[in-house]
Amino acid sequence: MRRAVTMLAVLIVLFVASAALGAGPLTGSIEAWKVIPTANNGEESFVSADKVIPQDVIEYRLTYANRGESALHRISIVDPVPAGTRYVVRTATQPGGAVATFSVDNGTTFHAWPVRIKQMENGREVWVDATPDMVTHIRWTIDNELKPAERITFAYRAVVR
Amino acid sequence: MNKRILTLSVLTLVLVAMTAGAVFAQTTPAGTQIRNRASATYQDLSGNNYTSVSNEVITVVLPVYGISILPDDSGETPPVTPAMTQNAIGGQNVYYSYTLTNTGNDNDTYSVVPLLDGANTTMTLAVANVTVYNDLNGNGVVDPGEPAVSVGGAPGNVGPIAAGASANLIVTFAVPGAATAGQVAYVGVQGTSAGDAGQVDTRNYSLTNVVDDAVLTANLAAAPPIVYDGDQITYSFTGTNTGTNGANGVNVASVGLTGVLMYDILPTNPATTLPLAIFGLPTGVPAGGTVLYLPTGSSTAGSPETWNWSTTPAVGDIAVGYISNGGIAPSQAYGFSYQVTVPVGMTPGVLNNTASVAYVDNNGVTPDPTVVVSNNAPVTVGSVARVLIGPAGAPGAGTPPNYDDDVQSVATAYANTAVDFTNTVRNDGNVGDVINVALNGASTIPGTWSVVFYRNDGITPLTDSNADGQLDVGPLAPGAQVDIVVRVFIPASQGAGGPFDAVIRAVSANDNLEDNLTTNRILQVLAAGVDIGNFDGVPGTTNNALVNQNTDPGLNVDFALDVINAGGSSDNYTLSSSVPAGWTVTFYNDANNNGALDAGETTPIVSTGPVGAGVEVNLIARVAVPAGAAQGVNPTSFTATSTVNVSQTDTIANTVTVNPFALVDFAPDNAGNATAGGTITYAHTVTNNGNVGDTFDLTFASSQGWTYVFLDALNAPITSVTLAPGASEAVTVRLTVPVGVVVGTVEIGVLTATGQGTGATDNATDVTTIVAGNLALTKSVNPAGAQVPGTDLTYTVDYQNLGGGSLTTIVIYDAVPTWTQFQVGSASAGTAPATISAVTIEYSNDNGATWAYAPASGGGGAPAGYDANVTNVRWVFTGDLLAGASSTTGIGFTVRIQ
Repeated sequence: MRRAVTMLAVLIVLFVASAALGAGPLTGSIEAWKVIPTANNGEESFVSADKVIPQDVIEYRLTYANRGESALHRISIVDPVPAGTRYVVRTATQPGGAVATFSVDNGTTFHAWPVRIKQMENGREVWVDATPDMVTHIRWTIDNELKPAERITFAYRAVVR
Repeated sequence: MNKRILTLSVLTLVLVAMTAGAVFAQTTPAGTQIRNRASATYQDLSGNNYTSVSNEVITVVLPVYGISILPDDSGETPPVTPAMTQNAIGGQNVYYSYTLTNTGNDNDTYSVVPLLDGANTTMTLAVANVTVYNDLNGNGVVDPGEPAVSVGGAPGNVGPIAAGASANLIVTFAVPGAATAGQVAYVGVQGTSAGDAGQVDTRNYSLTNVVDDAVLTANLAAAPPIVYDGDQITYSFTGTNTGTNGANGVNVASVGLTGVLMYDILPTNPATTLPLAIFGLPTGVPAGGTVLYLPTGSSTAGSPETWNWSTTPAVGDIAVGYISNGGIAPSQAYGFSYQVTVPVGMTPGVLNNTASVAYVDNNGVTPDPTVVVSNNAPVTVGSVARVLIGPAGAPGAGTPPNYDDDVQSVATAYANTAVDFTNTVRNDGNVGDVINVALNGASTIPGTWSVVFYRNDGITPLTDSNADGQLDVGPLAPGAQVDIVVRVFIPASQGAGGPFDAVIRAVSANDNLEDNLTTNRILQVLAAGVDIGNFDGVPGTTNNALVNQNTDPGLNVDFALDVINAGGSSDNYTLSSSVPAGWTVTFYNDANNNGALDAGETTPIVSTGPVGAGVEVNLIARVAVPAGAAQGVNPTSFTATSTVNVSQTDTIANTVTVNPFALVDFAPDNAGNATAGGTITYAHTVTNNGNVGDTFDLTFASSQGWTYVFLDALNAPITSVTLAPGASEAVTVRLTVPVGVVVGTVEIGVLTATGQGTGATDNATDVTTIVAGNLALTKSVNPAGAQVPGTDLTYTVDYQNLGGGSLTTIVIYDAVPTWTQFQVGSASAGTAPATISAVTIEYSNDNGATWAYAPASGGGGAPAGYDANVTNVRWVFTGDLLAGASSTTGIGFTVRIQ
């Protein structure tokens, strides 16, 4: 299966790197908080997730701020679900017109949840819903402009495997 | 890329306790750093693209401890469903296999102790009679050399055991010889974590029934203990009738056979859920039996003799068995052996398997058949690291066995640009892997280049997700692949050349000797480039043919030029020229690209300004040809030089042909007054303003028919002047007015210089008006009146310009009167107006023929102080006598009356 594809000198589209790539007015910071359920029903508290053990739940909070002088748009934010954790389904927030989509193929494609995948069952390929542990990346796209001095915070939770 | 079998380093942690159970922890190992960094892409309102990468947060995983011992009982006392159940006769040893698993995320050691449910055990047995062994090879049998963990009921340690790994335990005791049928024993095992004493797995009670009947044992062994895909596993099921009676056969209706049925539901590949395929032909004892196969799709519900067994093997069989020909006598051995193949891509880990034997005992009360399940015979399916990297979508490209020679190419790339190659990385191993990528030393790209790895979005840089100091593509499940972008930055200074290879090495993090190469090749680098040529009116092309322009000296000629950015990035070109000395070139932007310098385009430029890759700009080069430029062909070239890479220049070589050009200037026109019989001179300059040397004939035309004489600077008469291009010469014209001309006559002289070779001609006109005389002289003597000889007479001549113009070249002559002798030293220049800078007094001793005589006392026989030789005195004025000006004191001299 590998013999025929050698040296085909696959045509590659030549890209010119955008000269504008580089430091811009949008700054992003990420925080990790450990979720601690309290005795009271449904209440939670948070401590900094410096140290965790398996099955702990980490809430990641991504805050992006426009520190420039003009509005920004077509903002797309991608966060890989960290190795050693598993995304907790339905915890990705979608603030202010942001839409969260999910990748189960290392960021190659993003889809709304649930993501459908092909899987082997009894030796046959079938379409099934992906499970949260398959999520490799989460992407937020923002339809609205982010005006100067505005900020937006996304969050999701991951459980330590 | 060769298949590489992982060296199971975790095995070294499992010192004594384990079967070869290198399995893979389901929990994140203690000490793991969970890293998270997000990236963003966005645009500003101008459409500029940006990226932003957040800080990285790191969370450290702490150790947790856990234990699991399987199988469990159902929890009641005594348990409704024991962990395991065996029949035995008095005096028989019974063996129960358990699996202890480290469910924590760090290495741990466990304290193990046997348990006895004394309240429900009816045979005479104490916990001190129970021994726990570590079944190192996992074959369900206590083999020589396998250590006892717990003896006499005392706790003993197993471990350390790696996170997620297991150890096999055998709990054994001898049924007392005096035990009678119907007596029972409940024996279990308990384990406690050394890392966390709160982590305990207890109970696990198994039931031993004492019978007076057939007792068939069941033991399953598997070899080898560690296998890799493509290998065969040999399973050997063995047993003996340790009972007091023969075992009777079961009837398998589907094949019409009756006997003791040994069988195994084949283990499956977790990746496909398909059973491992039977390899070769199974064999069994006692001889005379029949091998049975259970076809794919068959039910395995109910008693095994009711299943749809077949005597014919088929693809996909889900179970294999051997049925003896009749019963099994006491002390008779039995068994069967078979092989299965580990499929390619089989999930690594522990492959568990048990086999069973079914028979009918001699007790009409107990349900039939009796099924005895063997111990678990685990086999470790080893991890195989296998990494592939190749062109986009073709990670397996290349020549076996190494697949390292795959190449993808781009034909050309420009300096000062980046080339993106998409490479696809695939984990062809059977275990999750983190594949590192790096530029390999086999690369041929120069050291000034750089290579950066991005995720498939081309924006997010690859990170070191597993903190091993190397960039990686992130975790990849077995069989999974991911695209990465390899961005090769070509510096601006890169000259033309190629090919250049960026060889990328992908390396397994599981096994750093497992790697694969792919080559990203740029066949030809095009340096930052420029093409300057003559205007051709077609964007993107230039006219590189020489263009000549003809011009007369003193004019401008315009060259319309095209400059094309032949590089791959925006550039700005410095403009320069090469022209003959004295010429100047000014560049203009031909903003409307029409090849002509138009109003609004007259701002000079020294460089093109930014020019996008592949874009053409139009220029005008205006060449100022100086007056007098020599005729002929003059190389005139224009050069554009890249500011991105100053070694990149281009020049268009043109010419300017200066026409032969003849032009003479005879100037100025003059006007003056002269007196009849006098002369007047006019100063002129003849200039050859052409670019050809020539001799110019000097001629005149007089309105009065008078004669003009041309004089050179030395006052020598000439009739022509020879002038090189640009040269000039002063020519004086002298007009002699005939005597007797009426005052008021006007003479118009037209003076002409005519080139002998070129015919160039020019006139000057001198207008002369005849006047009575302009210089009034008034002579006086002192003492006046009649005087006696010997008297000194002093003559004084006062002078005044009566005309309207300046008088030049004034010479006043006076003669020494007859009968007088010149007094030496008496000649006076008087006091002249300021415009007369000097008055030179000269003497003649020959009535004015020559003026070189120097008076001497006593000359010519005169008395002392006098010179009789002096005949004339003259005063030569230097400077102009302005209109109306007169002497303050006149000139004069003294004589003595003889």
